[in-house]
Amino acid sequence: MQRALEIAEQVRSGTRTARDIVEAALTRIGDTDAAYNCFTTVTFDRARREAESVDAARRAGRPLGPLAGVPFAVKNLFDVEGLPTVAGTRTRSLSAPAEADAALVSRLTAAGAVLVGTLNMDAYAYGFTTENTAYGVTRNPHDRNRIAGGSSGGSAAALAAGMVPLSLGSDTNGSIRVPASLCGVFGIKPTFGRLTRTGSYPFVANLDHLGPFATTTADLATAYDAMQGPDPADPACSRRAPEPTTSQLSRGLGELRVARLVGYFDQWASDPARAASIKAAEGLGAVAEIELPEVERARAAAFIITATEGGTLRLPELRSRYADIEPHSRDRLAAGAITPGAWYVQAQKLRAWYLQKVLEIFSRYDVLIAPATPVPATEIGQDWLQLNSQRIPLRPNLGLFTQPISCIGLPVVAAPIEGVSPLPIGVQIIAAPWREDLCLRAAAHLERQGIARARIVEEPSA
Amino acid sequence: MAQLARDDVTVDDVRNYVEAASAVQGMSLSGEELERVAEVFARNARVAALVVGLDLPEHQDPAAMLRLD
Repeated sequence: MQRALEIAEQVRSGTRTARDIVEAALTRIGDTDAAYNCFTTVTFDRARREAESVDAARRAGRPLGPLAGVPFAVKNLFDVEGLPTVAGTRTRSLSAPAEADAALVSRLTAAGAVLVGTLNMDAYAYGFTTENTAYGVTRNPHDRNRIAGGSSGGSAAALAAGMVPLSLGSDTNGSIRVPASLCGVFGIKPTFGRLTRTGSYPFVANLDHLGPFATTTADLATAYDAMQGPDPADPACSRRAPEPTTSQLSRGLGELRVARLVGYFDQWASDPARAASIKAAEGLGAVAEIELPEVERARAAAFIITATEGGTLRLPELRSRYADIEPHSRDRLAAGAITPGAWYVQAQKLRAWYLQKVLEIFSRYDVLIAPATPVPATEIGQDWLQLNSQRIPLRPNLGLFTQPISCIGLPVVAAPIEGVSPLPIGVQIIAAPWREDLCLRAAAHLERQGIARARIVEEPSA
Repeated sequence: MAQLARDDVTVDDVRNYVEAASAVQGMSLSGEELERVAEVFARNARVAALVVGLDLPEHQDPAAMLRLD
């Protein structure tokens, strides 16, 4: 699969038609998805109709968007007109079809992109592995015996398997950054409130973010830019005007002050994760190693907020259809729904306090580097992880490094780092609120140096 | 009863709370389900110990995070 911007250029110039490109993507999906189980629905008719519409616009001389003819797919918690929004669950599979597309799907479509399907995920987005009992496990294209990460596992694996050049996912505690790291692709979790969530199925309203995956920083920035802008229908969405980033990518590092996060982040990192963090920091000319204050407590606050809001939102199903809820999630949802209010309020106070402490750090540094995951992809079905001389449960702890960042809404680009592990592993490039441009600039710099690069699998692995 | 947000809390410590709170929330769980939920709740309580263990200013606004702009 070509990069998104190459495709758009070919469509604009008439070298290839959007219909031809979409047919190639549909064929690739048909040939390879059985090996990975990324897609839950392939939207054949819609994709062909939209591709023909792009081609008709070109023939008529109408202007084409920056993503003209680019096939994309979305995590199945995004509304797609005519499909039930299953959010990875059996309980929602018979729900009424969505009457309209999610806002971000509409914005990508308006930019010329062509939707080809919906993608597998952890049920309710509550997980980091995409081991889904109802829809099957999504396998990592780099080793089919290993997880793709989650909860947006299908979104990352579909790129790594070369089925689409662009996808959308959601990130509450790391669900874009974890699968991006394990599958070896780029992803961006923007500032909380930057991208509208209208028409997406919620998990934790205080922590839910949406964002794109891509195989280059230019593709990532183009998709991100196409989706920016206010939306009164999402009360958390900022009223800020779009702040385009694509023009920033070539600026290089300039005077950016970069620091590597150590302490907690080194302590819980495996050797490859630590090596990725060091390599990225060196590539960005990091000037310091620093620690975040009370980072473990911040992660705990994210954990309590997630349990409480996630469980409370699912109370109707917990009361009436307990046995039908995803087994990996239902006991956690029930336990979360009975969290004492005092714990929840303290968790909210803690993260507000922690945000102020971290913002002070951004007066000294522009960009912070940390591993995205503590380890590369683990085996499907694995329950435990040996880290920091301790045996810890695998599934919740894949978010060890992502939760303390997203719980205060900071923008992050997850970038795959080359040459530190046989399996992919990525870093988080973190900036102050609303400075996605800095994350993307730093990621583009690493990409130009050959330090960050997406790994795409041409043929299904054994 | 000792507060439950402790790093040494056990399933035995939380069982009564889990049973009562599940009923309050209208969840009708079997004995086996309650036991599994109690195990998770005990783990959550150990995590909550980190949260409640930090002294914060009394006036700290719990809704401050909603205003990044």
